[in-house]
Amino acid sequence: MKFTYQWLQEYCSFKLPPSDELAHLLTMHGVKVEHYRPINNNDAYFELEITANRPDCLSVLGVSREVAVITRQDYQPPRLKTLPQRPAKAAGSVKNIITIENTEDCPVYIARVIKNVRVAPSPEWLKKKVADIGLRSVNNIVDITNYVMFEYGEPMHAFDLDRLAPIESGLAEKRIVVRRAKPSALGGEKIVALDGKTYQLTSEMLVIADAREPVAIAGIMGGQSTEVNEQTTNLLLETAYFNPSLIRKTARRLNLSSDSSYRFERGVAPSVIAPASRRAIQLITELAGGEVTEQQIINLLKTKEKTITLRFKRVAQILGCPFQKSEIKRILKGLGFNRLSESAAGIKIKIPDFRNDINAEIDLIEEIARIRGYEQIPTTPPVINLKVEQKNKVDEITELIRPTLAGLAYNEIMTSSFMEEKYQPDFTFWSEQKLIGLLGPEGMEDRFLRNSLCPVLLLANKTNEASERERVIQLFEMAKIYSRPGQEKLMLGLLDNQGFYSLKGTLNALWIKLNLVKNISYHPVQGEINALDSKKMVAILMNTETIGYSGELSPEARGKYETQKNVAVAEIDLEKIISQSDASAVYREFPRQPAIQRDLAVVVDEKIKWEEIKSAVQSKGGSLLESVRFFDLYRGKQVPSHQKSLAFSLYFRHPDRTLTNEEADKIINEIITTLQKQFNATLRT
Amino acid sequence: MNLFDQLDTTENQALEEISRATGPEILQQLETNYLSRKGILRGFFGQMAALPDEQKPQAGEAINRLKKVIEEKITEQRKILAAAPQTRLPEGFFDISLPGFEKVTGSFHPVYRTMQELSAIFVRLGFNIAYGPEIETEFYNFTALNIPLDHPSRDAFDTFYLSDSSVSNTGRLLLRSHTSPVQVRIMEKTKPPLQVIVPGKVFRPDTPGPSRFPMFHQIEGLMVDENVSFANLKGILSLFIREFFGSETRMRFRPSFFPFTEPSAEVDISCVICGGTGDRCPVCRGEGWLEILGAGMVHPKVFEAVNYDSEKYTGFAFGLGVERMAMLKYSINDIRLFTENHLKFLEQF
Repeated sequence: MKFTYQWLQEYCSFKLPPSDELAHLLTMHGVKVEHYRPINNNDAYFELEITANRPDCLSVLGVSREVAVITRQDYQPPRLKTLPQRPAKAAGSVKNIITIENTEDCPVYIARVIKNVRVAPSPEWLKKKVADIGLRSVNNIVDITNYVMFEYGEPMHAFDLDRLAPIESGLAEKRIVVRRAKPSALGGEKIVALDGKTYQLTSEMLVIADAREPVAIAGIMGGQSTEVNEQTTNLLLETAYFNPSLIRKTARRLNLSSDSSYRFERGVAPSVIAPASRRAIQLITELAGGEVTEQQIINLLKTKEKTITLRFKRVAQILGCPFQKSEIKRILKGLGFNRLSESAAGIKIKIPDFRNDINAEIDLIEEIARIRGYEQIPTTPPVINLKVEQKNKVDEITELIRPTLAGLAYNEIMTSSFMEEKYQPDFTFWSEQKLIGLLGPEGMEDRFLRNSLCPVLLLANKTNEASERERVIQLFEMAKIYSRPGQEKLMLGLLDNQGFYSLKGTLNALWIKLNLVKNISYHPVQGEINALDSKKMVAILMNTETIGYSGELSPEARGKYETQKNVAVAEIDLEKIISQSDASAVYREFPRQPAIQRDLAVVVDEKIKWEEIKSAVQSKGGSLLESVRFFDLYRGKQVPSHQKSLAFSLYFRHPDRTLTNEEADKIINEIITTLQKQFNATLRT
Repeated sequence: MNLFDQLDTTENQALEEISRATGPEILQQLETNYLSRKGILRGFFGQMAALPDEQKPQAGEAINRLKKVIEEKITEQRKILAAAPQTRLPEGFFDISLPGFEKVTGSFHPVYRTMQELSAIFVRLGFNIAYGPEIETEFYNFTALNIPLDHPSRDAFDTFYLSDSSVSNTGRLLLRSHTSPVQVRIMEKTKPPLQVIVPGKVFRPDTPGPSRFPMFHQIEGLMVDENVSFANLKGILSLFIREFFGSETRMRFRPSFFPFTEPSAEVDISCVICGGTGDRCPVCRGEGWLEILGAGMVHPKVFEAVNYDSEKYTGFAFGLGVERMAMLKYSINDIRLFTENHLKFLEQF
């Protein structure tokens, strides 16, 4: 909503505060000034950001009423010159020139025919007004309709009467039909609007039509074929009320909005329609000559009188401080809300039709707070009854995982929940269904929700690898994936560009922190994960339940995600962990006798698994062998082909006394003998 | 070994010892050993007495020559040590300027980190944390929050709809455009009194730009009890703002409109960059104020939707954008940096 300081002053019976002060006052009392720019010493340009509930402020008259109550002035509506209401004769003869097919779509329509006008450029004062509201001056007629729209908040439209095809209808000559556009099944209808674009209309849209075709998209934009130009001599001026919801739907469907649709969809006050029409006619006859020869006023709008009772006590209860009754009454009166009755407890108010946002007591309380000023309400912390609530389980686990991973030199990332469809087949571990699609503004499917965190982690890896080829990249995020509507899962995603074993080490550290070591095991993956190397992937089980997977990218996937490294990823269902984890550890006695450490390296056949060696060592080692820790795998020149060397440390400890080297050596020799027999292993020295 | 041979041996030994000397104190010691009145060369002069007379001048000359050679070598070594003390790293030298072993730590994402910080403040004030689904229904996202489906008040909440969602009795499925639907879900399950915050992701079909991204984070706050007032809302937010932005930060409430609160307010803080002066400040664009959150008293219609007695209970709600908070806190000028995930960015937090 745009206007200037001097324009506003014209409509105020009192002197406005200085323009910068006015801008501040408006903003602090609910009419936000989006732009304010002084033009010269005594004028300034204002642009207001009017919230959707305040169509009454989409007019200079409405703003002047608001300014009066904010600045504690008496509001006197300005006496604008309009066509006299009576005698009706002065306004031309009453004729039956409109047909409204659906009065719910259009309950009010005022049509006036003005003949013999001189269409010409606007006078300077009008050109300036039109520029003030940010529009381009067209001619005196069009400029008047825009000017009056900004004065009253009521949009209107002038047709070139002679370019409307007459409708033969018995005795009277009809001019206009208000109807729905023809359904597309019947061929539909099109219109070239004033913006020069062609719009395809549907039966859900309301049009103004002549005998042949639509001449305007009702309430939104006129058509090019009947626009008023220099050749125009006879006009039909439309001033109407259209169903707000219908206008809104049409404007959205056509992706076409205008100053007119903006006002209609928010709701025009019925009481301004007639005065706005008479005001426009007055200005047209003044500036362009001509006379009103025919008119018809249809008004089928049923307006209910809206009354609300305000309880003084409730004002104090909601706002948290008492308000003087006299102040409450001053504010309500200043807003144009008339008092019907009053008691000690409250006041009954009649709501004017220009305030369609006021529907309940709470709305009046807001008005009181707003006009009084929010800064007048005290700042009082509430009283909260102390109680201990159970800590959120999700937070409990994520607050443990986050610092653990950061401590292991992982960087937390934040990715978009959207994913390109081409990544859908890569990680279908949780869902093989097609991605959930989202509708874009055009109603077309133009985005998808991810089915895994791995693709977005890999894209973050790509960004960083491109920037620094040789750096270590370790990333994680805890966020949701979406398998199907209503099924969103909170996941932990991890990425490590140093390969499978590096990531597995991270996972193991995590299980220790989560106190889950005993519950977790790694197993072959049932089925496929397309982007992973089938030899280098595992399913992660907690007890008997699968909670995630981990693996290294296949060569093809490395190409797709543009990496040269052995990138490994893992994805873990946090909700499953949350449901089972009992984060508190239980203390166990630990041995205090010194341990003896011995390292061994054995060469065995390629196909023998570490786990087999380990369990053989453990069973032979007996109770004095505390732990076996793998530390190196070697293949190469120093071992025969199809064989490998596994190196590991053995830790021996006696629970009650210092173990001797001889005792340890004895067990080691037995272990070596066992490995030789069982796996045909040779010692590597 | 005759004297001349001894002189040769001594010369070799002395020169080597001197060249190995790593500090002036060692050179001083060598000088004493060789050249002092009780030094090695003085001893050679003593031995001269035993020589045949014809050799005496020759020997004297040789000892003096050696003395000169040692003196010169010591001087030369002093210069070397003074000029380039680093050029020699003999055993025992400990270079404290070498770097420590490289140990790397990771980082928390600034948005998640800010979200935790913000949540923690409210938790300290006595609020609980709750979460809700990101895929919502029209009922929770709009209808229950007093946002009619075909109404201009929905313009502020442009929404992603799911393309293949079947329409249920709670309306079409969508990605929530704000965290407010969780208010409704909480109140459906819990009776007052309650005070809760809801952090989470929200989605709006915006074209990405420096201050817009189609996915971002909000923290929603809700408190309901008997006699919770607008003054209390100001009270809580004032405590919160001073805790997060600093005790000198000023706050102002401006009337605004949200369908689910009445009265509604937008809350500004004095600009944290220019201190509220607005002087050529690019962040507040010269206004001195920054809009940081929306708030208000829960609309009675929202209470009706969850079967709360709106005569008995009153409450307030507020919502703030986490990215905006993080951008202000860390002076980040482009929201897109958050999802780019460049390590050079992430490592800074």
